[in-house]
Amino acid sequence: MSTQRMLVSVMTTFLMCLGTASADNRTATTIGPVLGGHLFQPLVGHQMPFVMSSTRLTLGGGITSNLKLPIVRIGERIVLAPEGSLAFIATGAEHEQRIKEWLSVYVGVDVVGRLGTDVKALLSQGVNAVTSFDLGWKVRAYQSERVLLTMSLDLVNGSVTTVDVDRWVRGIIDSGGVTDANPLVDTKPTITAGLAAHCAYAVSPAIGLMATVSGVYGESAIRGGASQIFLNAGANVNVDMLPLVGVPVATTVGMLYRQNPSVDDASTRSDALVVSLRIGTTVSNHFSLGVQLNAQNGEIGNGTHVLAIGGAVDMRFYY
Amino acid sequence: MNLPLRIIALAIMLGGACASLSAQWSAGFTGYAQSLSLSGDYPDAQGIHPAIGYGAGMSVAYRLTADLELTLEPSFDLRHGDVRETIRATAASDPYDTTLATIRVTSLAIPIGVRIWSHGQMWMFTSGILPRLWTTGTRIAGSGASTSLSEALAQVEIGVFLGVGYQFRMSRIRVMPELRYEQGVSNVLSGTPIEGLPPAPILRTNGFSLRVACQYRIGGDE
Repeated sequence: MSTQRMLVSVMTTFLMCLGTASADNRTATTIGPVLGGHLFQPLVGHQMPFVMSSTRLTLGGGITSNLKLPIVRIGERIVLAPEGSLAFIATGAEHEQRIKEWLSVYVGVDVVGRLGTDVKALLSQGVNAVTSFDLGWKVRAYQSERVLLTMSLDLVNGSVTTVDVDRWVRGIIDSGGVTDANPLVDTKPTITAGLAAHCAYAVSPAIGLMATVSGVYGESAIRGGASQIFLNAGANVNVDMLPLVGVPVATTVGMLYRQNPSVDDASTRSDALVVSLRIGTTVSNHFSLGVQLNAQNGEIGNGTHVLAIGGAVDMRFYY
Repeated sequence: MNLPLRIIALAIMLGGACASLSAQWSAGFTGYAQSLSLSGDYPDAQGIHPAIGYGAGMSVAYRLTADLELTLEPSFDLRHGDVRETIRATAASDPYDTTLATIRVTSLAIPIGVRIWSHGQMWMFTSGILPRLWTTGTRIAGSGASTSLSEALAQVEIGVFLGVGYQFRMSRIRVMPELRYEQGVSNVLSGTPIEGLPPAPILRTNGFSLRVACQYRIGGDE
């Protein structure tokens, strides 16, 4: 065997031993989201099923595709034909504290701010910042060597901001002027309570699956509207390269379906579908750092669908 | 029957019930200071800022397991808030806040929850629901004029709480300081239209309280 081939064999054997040794360590650890020797990677927007102490910090942003909102007419005359795009920045922090082996509580805050806009006139007076506060409890229901099932109950205190130019103009015509009862931009406080079930399945030390399904009881986005139940469901698959080729990088692909209160009709719902791709490091089960890309298609009212592209840097610390 | 008499009657009933109980029960008193804000819909350039309120009442616990207790703490509850308006900047001055009035809200708070012990039963974590009943309110303007807010406030409010505390034990007596966060779930307002607010206005309570409970373990074994 030539020297070169010998060197490649030694290096390959070394890397395989490194990967194998790390997987053995993950089997024995109680720190971090480890199950069946696989270190699961978090995905922003997806609740992890693990009962653990952790801290999350997220910074991201995004931009919508070209918005073309319904034309506002008075009689036969076009008053406004708003179009443009919206950019936003989002930050979030969350801390989860394990109280017992089977119970943890978490609190989190998320802020979404308008970064800049190309939309004309009236719409530029829209949303500046929206803050939501999340409080929840997580309980472990079942755990085996490869399967973990947990339930969570959470409360989200936030708001819904709507900009309804058509309603605003008609209100001015009806009342003869601008009134407090007919604002152009209306920020309505909302509170939702959700019950969710989460599952993690370690296919192998390199591959893991997570899924979640939840029912959320939330207030209508329209003042005076009745509260409704909304359904959310998501799943993701994670591939860790460390056990395979000894490289501490993981790729996660996920999809999330979400129902939201409609801004047009208090008795209906609007849907959003989010597809995510995350690339993160798996060098330690105490820390996770990743970059995530999202593509979201959702309805914003009047039957208008918007595609928003975003990205985020996500850091997790596990204790 | 006014609110203080209702609280005394409830305390007497609970005290009588505890008189013949086993060592699984603990009973005593609790007192707290709280800083709760009302968040939601405000008139333009106004806001309700938290001021220090307080409360006191009974504290009862029933031990289910070595690490888990059910708790009930009916209390007279007083919330304070300052209604402030932001005066816009002029050529002569920068923007500043001015206090228009003080809001005073009283109610019977009945937190019902669980207390989970950890780390050798010294640290405790509490959580549960917090109904507030028989709510009355008063608005005291800067001039001293007082206006009743009771018609504008919902008689029953529901919230949830989450707290962390520590236990100091002295034989059968235990003293438990606790820091608690409360989040209102229901609307503080009754739905009566209010000038300057959008239709169907919403206000919710949220904030922190620092509490101390002193309990005595009733019965035989500790």
